[in-house]
Amino acid sequence: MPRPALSVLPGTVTSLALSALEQGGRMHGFEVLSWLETQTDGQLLVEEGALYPALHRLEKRGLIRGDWGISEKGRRAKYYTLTAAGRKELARERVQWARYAALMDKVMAPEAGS
Amino acid sequence: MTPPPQPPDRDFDDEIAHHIRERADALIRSGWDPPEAEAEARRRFGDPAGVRAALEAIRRGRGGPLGAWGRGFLRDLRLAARSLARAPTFAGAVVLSLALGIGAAASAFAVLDALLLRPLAYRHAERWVYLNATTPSGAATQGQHAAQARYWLTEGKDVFDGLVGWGSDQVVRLDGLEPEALSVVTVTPGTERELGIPVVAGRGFTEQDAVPGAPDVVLLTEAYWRRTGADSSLIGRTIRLETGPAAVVGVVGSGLRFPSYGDERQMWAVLRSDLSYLDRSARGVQALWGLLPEGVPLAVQQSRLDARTAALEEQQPLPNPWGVRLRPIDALNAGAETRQALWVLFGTTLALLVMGLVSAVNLVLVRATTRTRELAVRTALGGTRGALFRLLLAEGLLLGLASGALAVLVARVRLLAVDPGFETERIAEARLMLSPTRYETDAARADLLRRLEDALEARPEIGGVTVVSSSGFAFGDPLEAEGRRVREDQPELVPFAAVQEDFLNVLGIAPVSGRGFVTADAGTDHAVVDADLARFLWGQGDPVGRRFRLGAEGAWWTVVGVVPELRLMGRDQRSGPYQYLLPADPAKTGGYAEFRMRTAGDPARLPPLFRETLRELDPEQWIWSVRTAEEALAEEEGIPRFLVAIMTTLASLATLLAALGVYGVLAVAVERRRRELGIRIALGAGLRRLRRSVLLDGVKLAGLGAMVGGAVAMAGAGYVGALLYELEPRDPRALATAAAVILAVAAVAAWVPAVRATRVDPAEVLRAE
Repeated sequence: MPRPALSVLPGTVTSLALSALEQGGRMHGFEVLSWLETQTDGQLLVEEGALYPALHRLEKRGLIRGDWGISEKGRRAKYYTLTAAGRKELARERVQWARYAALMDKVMAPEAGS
Repeated sequence: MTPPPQPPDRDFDDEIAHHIRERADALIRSGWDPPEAEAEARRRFGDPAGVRAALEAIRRGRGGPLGAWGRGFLRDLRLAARSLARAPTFAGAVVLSLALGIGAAASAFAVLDALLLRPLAYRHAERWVYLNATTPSGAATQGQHAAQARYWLTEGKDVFDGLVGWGSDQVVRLDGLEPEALSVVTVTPGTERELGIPVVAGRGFTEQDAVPGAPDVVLLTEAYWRRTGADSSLIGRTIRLETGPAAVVGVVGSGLRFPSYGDERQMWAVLRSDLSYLDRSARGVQALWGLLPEGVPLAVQQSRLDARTAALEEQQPLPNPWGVRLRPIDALNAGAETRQALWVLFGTTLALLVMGLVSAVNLVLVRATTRTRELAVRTALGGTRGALFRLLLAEGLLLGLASGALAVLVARVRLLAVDPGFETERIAEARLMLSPTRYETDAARADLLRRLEDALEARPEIGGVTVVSSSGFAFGDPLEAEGRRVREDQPELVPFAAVQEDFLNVLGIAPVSGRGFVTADAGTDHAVVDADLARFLWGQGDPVGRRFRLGAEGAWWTVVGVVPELRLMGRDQRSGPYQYLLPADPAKTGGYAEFRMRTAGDPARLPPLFRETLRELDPEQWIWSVRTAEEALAEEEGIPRFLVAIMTTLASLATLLAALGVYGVLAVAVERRRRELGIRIALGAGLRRLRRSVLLDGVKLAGLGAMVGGAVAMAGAGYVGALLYELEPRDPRALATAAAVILAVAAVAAWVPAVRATRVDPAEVLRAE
C-alpha cells in the first residue's frame, strides 16, 4: 500500500525545480511537475499553485530562463532552462541541503540505546 | 518556430491553461473521460486566479535594486519616453523653448557676474577708494596732478589707513628672443601686501628697494612668468631693459589690470621714496588708492579731504586745484554706461527666460487637451490617478532634463561673430616706434621706413603697403566749418592720420566725392575727410573745396575728397565716427610709423611676414604691435562690441521663442475650437477662409505684441543708447524692421495650426457628441 505523499516543505520548491531542470533539460511547467512525480514515485506532493510562482521567481532572479515555444501538441507553452547562474545556485543549495539534513538527523535521532 | 509575443497578461493565462490542458490529457491517457478529466485537472490546479495574481505580483515585484517604487518609476520613465517619441514636434518645441530661455539667461548671467557682480578680490576691497583730481568746476578727472600725487604719497597719507599708487609705462626688454615692449607698473612698496595680492615666488618689494640709489629691481607678474616658461631660476637673475639692467626678485599674482597690456606683459618696479618717478615719467602716478579708516564711511572721508584740500588751497595755491573726489574702486570694473547696458542685458535675459517658460507651458497645455482621451482610456483600464500622475510627472521630468542639457550647450555657445558692417579686408597693421638712439635724424628714420616698405612690397604675398607716419586724435579743440557757427555738440576726440598717397588704394577705400591724395599734396593744407565728419560740418552738401579747422587757433584745412568709413582708432563711442586724413610730409619723419599691408591670401600670414622682413633689416628694432585688422578691431572695441554680440544673439533667440510661443498659443486655440471648426467645416465653410482666419489670429497677436514691444522699446531706448553706434536709439527704420520681422515670423509659426484647423474631421467631431 503506497504511503501517503508528503507535502513539500515550504521553501524547497525552488531547489526541486532547479534540480529538475538540471537533470531533465528544457521543460515546461507541467513537465517539471511530472518529472518530480516520477522521481519521487508520486511520494512528494508539489502544488501547482506553488510551482508556477516558484518558476517565475527563479526566472526573475535569472537562475532559469523562460522562452515561449510550441509544444509537440501544437500549443503555446513556456519552456524553462537552467542558466549558468542557476547551476551555481543549485550547487550551493545542494550543499546547504546536505548540511541541513545532517543536522536534522542529528537532532531528530533517538537517544542511543532507547 | 517561436510564436508571436503576447502581452504579459495573456502569458499567464496561457501558461496556466497549458498546464491544465496537459494534466487533462494525462488523465485521459490514464482512462478518464474527457469532460471529467477537464474538471479534475482544474480541481487539481487549485485556484488559477490566485496563481495568476501571485505571478503578477512577482512580475511587479519587490526586490531588484530600486525597490517597487523605483522600478515602477523607471517603467514610467520608459513609457513617458515612448509617449514623447511619438510626438517629436511637441517634445522638440518644449525642449527648445526651455533650453533657449534657460541657456540665454545663464550665459548672460555669467557675463554679468564676471563684469559686475563679483566683488574684487582685493583685501578690504569695499574700503579702498580711488582718488581723482577735480577740475575747477568740481568734476572728477582721471588721475592726479604731480604736485597732488606728491602730497598724498607723503604728508597726506595719514588721512587714510593705507595708501597704494602706481603709474604704468612702456619699457622694452632686450634680452628675450625678440625685443619686447612691456608695461612696467611702478608701485608704492608694499602694494601687494596691502591689496592682498599673493607673492607667488621670491619676495615682494621692501623699503630698502625704495631707497634712492638702490639697485633696480623688478617683480614679474605670474601671467608673464608663466608665459615665459615659469623658470624659477629667473628669480635672482638680472634682465636687460632699455632703461638698464634690473634684478628679478620675485613673482606676484595677477592683481592690477591694464586693458592695453593685460597681465601677460606686465612687470612691477618700485616707487622710490624720493618720488623722482613723478619727474621722470610723462604720465606720472596714474592711480592712487586710499584705504578708508575702519568704520569711516566714504562721505565722511570725502568731507575730511575737502577740508584739508581747502586749507592747502589757501596755503599753497597751484595752477591746478587741490580738489580730490573719492570713488569706490569697484566702480572701475566697468564704466557707467557699460553698467547700464549690462542691466539692460539682464532685463532682456529675464524676459527671455519668461518667454521660454511661457512657450513651454503653452505647448504642454496643448498636448494635455489632446490627450484627454488617452488618459481616460488608461483610467478605464485600471490606471489609478497616482499612476497617471506619475506618468505625466515622468514626462515632465524627461522634458526638463533634456532642456537642461540643451541649455548647457546654448550657454556654452560663445558670441556669434558680429558682422562689423564692413569688410575687414585682408589687411594687417603693424606699429613701430623707431629706436631714438639708432635713428636720430629724420633722414635716418625715413631711410629705414622706405627700405622696409620696399622690402615688404617685394614680397609676393603682399599686394600693397602704405605707411601712416603719424596718427593720433585731436582733443578738445572744436571743429569749425569756415563760415558757419561752431556747433555745441562736439565729439570728444577726432582721430586723424598723416598718410601717403596710396593709403586709400591699399585699403580699398574709394572716395565718394573728390579724390584721394596725390604726391603734389605733400606739405599742403589739403585734407580728406570721412563722410560723417563732412555731414557734421556741412550737412548734406558737397564739402569738396570747403575749409575747416580745429580750434580758433588752428590752421585751415581744405577738403579735397570725402571717403566712407575710416577706422583709424576703432569704433569707440567716445572717439566718435569723425576722422580725417592729412598728407604725409616726407620732410618730417617722426619715430612713429604704422604700416598697413594688404594681401590677396590669408591675412594671418601678414604678421609673421612683417616680423621676418623687419628682422632682416634691423634685428634690434622692436615691434610695438602687429596684427590683422580683425584682431585690431576685436582688441580695440573691447566690452561694447562683446555686448552687442550678445544682444544680437539674444534677439535671435527671442524671435525664435516668439515663433514657438505663437505656435503654441494658436495650437491650443485650434484644439479648443475643434468642435466649432468641425461643425463649420461640416456646414460647408471654405477651408481657405478657415486657414486664413487662424493665420490672421496669429498675425493679430503678433501685431499687438509688436505695438506693446515698440512702446517699451521707445521708453527704454535711453538705456540702450550706450550700446549703439551711429544709430539713434529710437531709429524708426530699426523699429519698423523689427516689427515686420516679428509679424512674418508669427505668420510662419501660425501656418501649422492653421493647416491643422482645416484638417479637423467633422465626422469625428460630430460623432464624439
